[in-house]
Amino acid sequence: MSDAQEGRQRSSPAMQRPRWLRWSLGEQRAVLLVVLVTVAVGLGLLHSRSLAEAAKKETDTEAPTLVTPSVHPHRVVAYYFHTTYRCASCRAIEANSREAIENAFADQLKDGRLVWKVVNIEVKGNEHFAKDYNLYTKSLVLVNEVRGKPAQWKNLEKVWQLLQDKPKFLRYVQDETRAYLSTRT
Amino acid sequence: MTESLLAAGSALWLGILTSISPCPLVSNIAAVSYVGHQVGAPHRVLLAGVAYSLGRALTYVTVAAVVVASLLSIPSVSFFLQQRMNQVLGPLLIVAGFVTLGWLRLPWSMNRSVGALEQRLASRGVLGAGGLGILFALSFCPVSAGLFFGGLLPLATSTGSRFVLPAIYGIGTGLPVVAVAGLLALGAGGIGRAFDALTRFERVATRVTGGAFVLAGIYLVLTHIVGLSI
Repeated sequence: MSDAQEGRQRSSPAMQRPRWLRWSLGEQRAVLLVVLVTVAVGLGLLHSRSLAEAAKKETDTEAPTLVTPSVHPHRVVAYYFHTTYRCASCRAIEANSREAIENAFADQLKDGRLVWKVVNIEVKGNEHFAKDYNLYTKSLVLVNEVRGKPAQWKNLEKVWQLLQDKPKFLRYVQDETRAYLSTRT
Repeated sequence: MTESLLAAGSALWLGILTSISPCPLVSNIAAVSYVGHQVGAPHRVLLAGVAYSLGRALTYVTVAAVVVASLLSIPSVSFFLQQRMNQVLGPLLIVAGFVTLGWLRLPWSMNRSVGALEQRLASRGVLGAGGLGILFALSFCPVSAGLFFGGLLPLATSTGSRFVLPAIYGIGTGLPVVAVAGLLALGAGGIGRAFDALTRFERVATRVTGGAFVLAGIYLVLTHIVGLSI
């Protein structure tokens, strides 16, 4: 079959459709309208439900993150910054980072020299973190705090490249955290 | 020379890494179904695949140029593309899906002569694939933002290759999609030829494309406009 014939055949799909699909334009529009209204109503219902859930959540994990003063003059805060939309890779980065830190630094976490914080930067009151640490996506950021004030910070950007290689990912996070913990500022 | 090759290899790998992560899976499925839907014409699948990758490359080169020239800051570009583009893309894909399925006709496509329509259909695959590449690359997800802004741009800046490396990265992000689309089209084309039912196969493939667009659009609307975690 030549290209022209092929094109002509495809150009009149209504002729090839089974009878039940041969709708007039008016019928097509009516079906489209019904579909769109159904989708819109469904989305509205889901939206109101998710808003209610978000409001419930906000009282605990989603609350603005306040940096609590430390008893140590020097401490490291490991932040995992995310937005309200969470993807599979983002959850994996959070879980792997947490695992890396909890497995290697249990003592430091216990005595407060190291703190693990998960922060939604889209929650009101947390937006400043994006500016403070020049964030452009979900990020793991280590912050050296001296007497309660951030002295230096590092965005561990390679977490995205190492996500497919868990042992390397864990080692990378642990090495960077160890280096920050041993910093004397 | 070795350094340049190494940088090019890294850029390509970062692109492939972006494409195979689960985050852009939905747009990848839509892209695979679009690029591969002309199952009877392997050369058109190949051309559409090349156009799709070049479209992606064009987007990344442009974004890199905008950021490197400091016209806009990385965080503002990145969050805008991650949030707003996905919000636009969802409804757009639903409409595009309806048009592909023939459920909706755009006003400017109704009064065309058959000849003009044929020409449009022939060129639509390749041009559409290029446009799709530009659009899908613009809708950044967290992984592409992390790898592009955190991995590729520092590499491009340090090697001084601010045009070529983003282009190679873009082609890398299209490669897996093109490979899968090509394999599917070849397989389906083979089966279609074996049963002498190629036209029917193409019609099914076009419906699959329309369906994939609508589903991908609904998913993006749910996740980026409604705010559901799916």
